[in-house]
Amino acid sequence: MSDRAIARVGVLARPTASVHPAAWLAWSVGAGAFVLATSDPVLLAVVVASAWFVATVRGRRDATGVPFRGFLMAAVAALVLRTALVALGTIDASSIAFAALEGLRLAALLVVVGAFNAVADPFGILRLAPQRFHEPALAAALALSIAPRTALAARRVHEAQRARGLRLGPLRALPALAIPVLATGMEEALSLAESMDARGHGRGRRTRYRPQPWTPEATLTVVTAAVAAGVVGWAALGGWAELHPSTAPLGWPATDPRLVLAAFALAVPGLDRSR
Amino acid sequence: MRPGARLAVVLALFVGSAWPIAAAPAPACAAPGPSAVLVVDTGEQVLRYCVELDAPEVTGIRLIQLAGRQHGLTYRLGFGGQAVCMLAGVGPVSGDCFGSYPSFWGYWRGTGDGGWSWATTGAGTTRVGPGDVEGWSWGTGDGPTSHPSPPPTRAGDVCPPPSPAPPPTGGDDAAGPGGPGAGGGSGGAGSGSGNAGTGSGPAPTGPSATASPQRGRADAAQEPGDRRSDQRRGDPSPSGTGSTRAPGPSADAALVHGASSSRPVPPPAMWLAMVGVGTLAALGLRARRRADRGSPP
Repeated sequence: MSDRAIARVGVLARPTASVHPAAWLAWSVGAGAFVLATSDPVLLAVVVASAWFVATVRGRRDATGVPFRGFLMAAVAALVLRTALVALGTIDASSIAFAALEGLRLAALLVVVGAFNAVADPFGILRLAPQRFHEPALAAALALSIAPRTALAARRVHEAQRARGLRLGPLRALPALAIPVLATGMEEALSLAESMDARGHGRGRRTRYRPQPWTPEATLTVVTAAVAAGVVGWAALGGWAELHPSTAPLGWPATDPRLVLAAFALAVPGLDRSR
Repeated sequence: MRPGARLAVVLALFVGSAWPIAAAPAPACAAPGPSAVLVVDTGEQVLRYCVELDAPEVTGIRLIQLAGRQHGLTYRLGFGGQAVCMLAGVGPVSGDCFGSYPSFWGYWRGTGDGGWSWATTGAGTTRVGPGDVEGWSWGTGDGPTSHPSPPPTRAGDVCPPPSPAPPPTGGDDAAGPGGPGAGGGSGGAGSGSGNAGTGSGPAPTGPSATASPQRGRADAAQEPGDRRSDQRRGDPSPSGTGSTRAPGPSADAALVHGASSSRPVPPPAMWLAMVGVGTLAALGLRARRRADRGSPP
């Protein structure tokens, strides 16, 4: 196939108007900054909802990494574990609430990271890395895909063993699984690295063959994230809002509606008419 | 919808919601409750606040937040809201409360007779009740013998003594500095009638009855100066009084009404958040259903 034909097929195969991964990076940095600035449960709930919304609408269908659901479960686990840690100190309503708020912050961060993982193509991010950091960035991108690949390999190996008549209970099967799964994982990683190397990744000057275009949606994503982070940063420096509701005495947090709207700004990249 | 139009809608919602909050006048709420004293010694000036409590006991941090709402004290907390970084414009405004080490805010608790004892736990875990005195002093020194303490202060020096006969508080709902001050002045009477069990005795004598409204007015006279000096040093935002005061009326309303009705109400922002989250959930589920049904892009 001629280069031109490959280029045309490549353009058609890519989903139209996908947002530049650098914009998603800016979005998740802004959302993460928002979460780190406050422990208000109302605001954190809005951030979580916005991140879920963006991940659900903008999530790539060809996801190769850890699915978003995995991050959601990790977030719930973080919340539960952090709240359970209150048993280390005095246990009363105030300390439980404080621990729960800290757990909610961790959970919100995990959801933001999960949304970023769902919407941004890791190899698209990889392309943005400067030449010097290409190998560590490649390693990171491969590592992100290792969990689902390992799970798939484990299932395949288990089926192959059962087909050969090797039926073991789940616990005894673990050592029998471990070596083939690890070996398969290494083989797959090596073949992927070889094929990328053959295509010229990391060698010399990379071509600008199919540069990711910067769309107005990407600008909107960056702007809304900057607005959200800017408003909460202004609140933190100017002190015009209670970003850390008191847990003693326990009461409803005095949330500022303007901060609520700023948190909802993070959901704007998900408003996509075409989906 | 084009991205530009979407952004315009978001900004319009933002401004539209901020307007009623900023324009709402301070409501006339009577029935003040029990109070504690907060003393802030920056080294250059000493600020004394009679802070109305919104619960039988609050933490030291909460007392500072209440003083911020009622008297305009600017403050910044750090370490997840458990430590005090800045008070009245003095102190680091970054997240690290010890950014100006060796100077930091020392935490003192009043012993009842005007003296101070160095607090042994953080202000996030202490319990402050009515009539308690809390002190913060800016300086160097890691312990009570080396760190400067605030000037001796008794609760009665700052908060008007409670008196059981409440005079009518009509005309006290002036917005701005006059509000909390006049509330403080008539608060003595209100808290006297509220705390019948504290043994405040029979009707006040002549001198103290005239003394409390005057002290209230003196507090009111001190507050605008405090707030202005606080803002000059501590408030970097360009809109100055407007932005510091704007969240005040609705927050104060929730505060004082909470104290009088003894049941805190959820803030209106929570309903806004719930409506928004519900909308996002509906839209997200609809998008997912559409994606599952249709062919992938």
